[in-house]
Amino acid sequence: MRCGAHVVVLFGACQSPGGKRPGPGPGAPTDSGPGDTSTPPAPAPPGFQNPPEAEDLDPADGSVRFRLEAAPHPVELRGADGEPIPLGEGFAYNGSIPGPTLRAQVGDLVWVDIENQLSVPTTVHWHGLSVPQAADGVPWAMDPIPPGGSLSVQFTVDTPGTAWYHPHFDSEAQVDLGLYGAFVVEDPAEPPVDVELIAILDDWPDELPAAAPEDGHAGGEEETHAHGAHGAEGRWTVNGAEAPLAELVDGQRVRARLINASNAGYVALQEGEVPLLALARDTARLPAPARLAAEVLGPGDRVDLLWTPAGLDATLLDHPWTLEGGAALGDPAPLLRLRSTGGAIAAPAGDWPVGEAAPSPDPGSTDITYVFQGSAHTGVWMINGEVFPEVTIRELPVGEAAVIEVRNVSGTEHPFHLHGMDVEVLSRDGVPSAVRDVQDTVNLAVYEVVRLRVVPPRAGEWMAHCHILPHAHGMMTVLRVTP
Amino acid sequence: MNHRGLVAALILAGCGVDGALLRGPDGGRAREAPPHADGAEVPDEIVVTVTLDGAPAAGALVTQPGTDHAAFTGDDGVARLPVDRSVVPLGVMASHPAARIAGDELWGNAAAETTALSYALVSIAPRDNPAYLFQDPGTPERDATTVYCAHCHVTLVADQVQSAHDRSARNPWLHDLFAGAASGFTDAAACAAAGGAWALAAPPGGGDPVGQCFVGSGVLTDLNPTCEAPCEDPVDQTGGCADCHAPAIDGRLGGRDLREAEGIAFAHGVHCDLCHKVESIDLSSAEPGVAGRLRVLRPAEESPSPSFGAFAPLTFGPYPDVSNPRMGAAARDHFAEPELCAGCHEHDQPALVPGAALDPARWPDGRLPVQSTYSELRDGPLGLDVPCQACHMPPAPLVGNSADLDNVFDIDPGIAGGWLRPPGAVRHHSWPGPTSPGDPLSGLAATLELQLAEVDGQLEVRAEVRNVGPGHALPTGEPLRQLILVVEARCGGAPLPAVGGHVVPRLGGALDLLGEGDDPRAWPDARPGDRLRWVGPTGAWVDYPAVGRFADFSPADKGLAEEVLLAELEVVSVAGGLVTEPPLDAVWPPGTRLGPGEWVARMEPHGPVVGAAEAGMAWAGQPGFAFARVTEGADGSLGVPHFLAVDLAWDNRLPPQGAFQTMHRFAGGCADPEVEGAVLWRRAPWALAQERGWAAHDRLLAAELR
Repeated sequence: MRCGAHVVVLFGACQSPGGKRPGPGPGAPTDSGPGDTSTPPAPAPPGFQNPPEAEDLDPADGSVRFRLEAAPHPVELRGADGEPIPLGEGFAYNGSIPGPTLRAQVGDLVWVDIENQLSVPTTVHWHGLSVPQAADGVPWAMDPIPPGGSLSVQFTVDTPGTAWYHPHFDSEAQVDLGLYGAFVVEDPAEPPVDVELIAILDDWPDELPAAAPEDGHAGGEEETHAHGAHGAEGRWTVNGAEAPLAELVDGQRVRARLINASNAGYVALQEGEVPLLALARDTARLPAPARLAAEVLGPGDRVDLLWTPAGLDATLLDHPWTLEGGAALGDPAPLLRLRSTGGAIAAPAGDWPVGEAAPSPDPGSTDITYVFQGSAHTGVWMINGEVFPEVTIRELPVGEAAVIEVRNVSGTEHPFHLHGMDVEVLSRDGVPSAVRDVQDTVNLAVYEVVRLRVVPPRAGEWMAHCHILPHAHGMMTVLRVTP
Repeated sequence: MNHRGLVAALILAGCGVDGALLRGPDGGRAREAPPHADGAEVPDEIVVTVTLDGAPAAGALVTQPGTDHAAFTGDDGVARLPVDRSVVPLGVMASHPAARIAGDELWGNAAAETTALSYALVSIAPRDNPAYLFQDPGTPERDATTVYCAHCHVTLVADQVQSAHDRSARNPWLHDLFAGAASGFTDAAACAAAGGAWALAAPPGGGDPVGQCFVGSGVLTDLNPTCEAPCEDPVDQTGGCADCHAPAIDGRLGGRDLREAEGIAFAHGVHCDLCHKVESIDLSSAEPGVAGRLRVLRPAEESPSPSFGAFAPLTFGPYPDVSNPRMGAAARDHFAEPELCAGCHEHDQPALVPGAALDPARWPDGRLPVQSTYSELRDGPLGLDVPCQACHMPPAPLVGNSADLDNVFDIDPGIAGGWLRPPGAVRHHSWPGPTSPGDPLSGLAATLELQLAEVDGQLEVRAEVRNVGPGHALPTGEPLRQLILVVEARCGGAPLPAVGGHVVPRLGGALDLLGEGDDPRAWPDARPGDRLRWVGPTGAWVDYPAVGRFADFSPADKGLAEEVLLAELEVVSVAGGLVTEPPLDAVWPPGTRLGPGEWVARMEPHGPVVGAAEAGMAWAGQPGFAFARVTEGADGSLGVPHFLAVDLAWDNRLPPQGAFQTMHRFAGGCADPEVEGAVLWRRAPWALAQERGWAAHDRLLAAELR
């Protein structure tokens, strides 16, 4: 197990090295944890635990090697009262939901040995990482890994930030059943943090659908679709726990990497008791750390937040939001509790590197238009009137700037995810971006038009789709980047 | 109710199909069930027995509203309904297509202990009752009592009164075309100047006679030749307008005279109580609206309470869990299906003008397609699985249920207030479209792509217009609609003269228009800055992509003769009614007469096309194109109102996902020319709007600057 240059793993979380008091920290045994027999079992929120860190099997500098094994695994959540909530049989990477965090540094050569111990085929897609087509994990370009099979992929990570990995085969079911994990690419130029919270958000039904039916596809479309379509009403967890409590130390510099791994549920954050000081959106560093009034994380979205708590006792709230139209009626729900006490240690020094600030100009012309169409009533979704895989492949030349305009005609929101390249949001409904806004998963509100600038870095045939996974069956197309 | 209907109803009703409890996001709504009195175990199911007219009702849907719990009754009329007793109040509903929904809400011990319920449903009286008076939807300002739908359905009525459906019967353009009137001319002098006749007549909607301008064709006068404008006598031929535009005229349904639309029927057109009295859809009927396809069922049973009106309430809707007696609800699938819209948005007709007939070779079934939005959707790539409602009824996630539960009133869930539905399940009743103020869909419908090239020292522009958004043709609906492409090239800010290529056809409107046999040198009204554009046929037919029957026609039968620009002149000076500069002799020597198919249009100066685009200008002859279903009257007139149509001259509306490319040539002038294009949606032909004095503004759908 290896942490980055600035953090070491302690009890499953990455903590600052050196003489600073590590504190209990995320992942450390909590008062209500196993072995604590001195207090009565009063209801208490579960302690925050980072996902486990994947062991680097390659001791050499400049490269990391991980092993991922996808296999059936029982899903047991931790309820807001700390009690276990068994949901049934799901899937896991390396026996953990979320799967282990894969960690590398910018420039590292990454090797991942994937083993499929499921009874169904699978793949692994590196969401937010620019990888060669052969490693992208999409059945369009490769055969999925059969049951009992294995695959090794290699790629170099060239952009720091918070990415994640998940299947891209029958992903509606396989992600829903627990196959996902964080992929952190560290940048030595960034200042150190005391604590890193990797918070993978997901919502769950009361009971999981069947994991391995006879047709070879995990889960049932109808069940998982309904779960996704109404994800905002499901049981939200952070790393499998409902509203866990992260115990922090006053003055610590805390970096929280939030990843929405839900099939279809949105998380809507608002600046409140817990400040939304953002460092990055998806894998793209913001031009400067910025206070956000609100941030909506659609499925596949990530945001990196920076906290320096002092006497903090607050809850990060998930405000009502539905893919059926956005902000919704209702009360906010607790997502993550934060408490800091004692210590008042000095935060580590160092400024955050800044990203490019000026937005790119919009040339006014459009190279590709994608129009999202479909019906929540019938569950039929398409792009440009085409249902995947019967799609028209549009082309762009590698390395040249182009504009993709995405329009949402449907009555449902859609997070648009384009493989193989980041996109820069030029404008929304004609309103230009105030600052450079780079993402890999861009949400489209109902009736919204978003213009995106791309400079495809690699040739290949890249998937472009809605990351509402029940929509992605049909709402997916292919963008060919020509050499 | 079929399986699809069941799932849809459950979703609409607030139920997922994943087993998740769909209680409202307000956690306070769902509380722990009260403890059972003696602590005994009570099963989490209720045995529900349903009868219909005294006999066991098989196939009845029983539900627990606010959850996904549902079951169908068997042949014995019995269903075992799983219930979540933590939802308070605990509701149980029984729905059968033949009857009004019945239900209970259980509180306290009843919620904790009830294990069996029974419902005796009574069949809805099957015959439409003409004595029923349609209910006033009210408005956001008129909502004081349950007489108005707006009393509870606040958001939906606020949507409705802003919608085109609400305006359908009072739309002055409709009445102008019905009566042969021109509402845009509001005094006798203006009317006379427009060539009209000023006369006193009852206004649309009824009332004392007022002065009105009568000009041009109208249903009353053209279909009833003995009735001269202002035609105020009863007539035999009403054109069927009211069947869709004013379908809620009390009394007999279908075949009514639009002049009978008064009161609510006039003010609110296609309104709440009309749509929610549609019991079923009959697409086999040739007659649209309430004359055939929309099977309206108005209640005949005696009212249980004077406060409910003269008859027992009856409301058809999408939900199987509404048992409010004020509603008298019965569930129907069609509210989420495109067939409901097809009741009116699919319309064909025989020749209506007396003595006229359709060409049987072109229209062998004797009917001319007038509106075909439903079949365009059905036959297009989106198909009926993307029903009209998916785009034209956007979600309303800030509304708790259709009665605004938890949003406007401090009312508890239950039979009176209903239960909270999943966010977004309730859909706005605004039906946005290009006639809606601030329509959000227009900007999604089309794309325009311009490509520039230098050819033989000239600037060649290729423009591609694509219908990318809707599942139907563009434009769709009423055949008066047009899509107009305009293209302009500039050099250093000054327009580059067009020298060839496609143009906006005559239907795009012209200040003056000369045609075959005319002297192209006579322009008595020309002013400096005007442009004269000479257009002629190439002899070829445009083989455009098409929808419906035109998709199978040969290019000649498609009927669109290719026209290109022959010359463009900018008027510099005028003297004595003659254009003195530039000299016209170089283009049209004295004695010239325009040849077959040739025409010249005069156009006034305008700024950049995108800025000028929405002004409703006369664009004929401008580099560009037009896409329309072009009706043809018995006298060969093009673009006539559909009641006059005996043929469709052409129909080059863009099919869904279809595209058409045009070519335009401009004089070379600089190394870095600028080209701008715009795609406009036009509500009615320019000439018709001029005739009736309508303030016609176009809507910009797409634009590109290269």
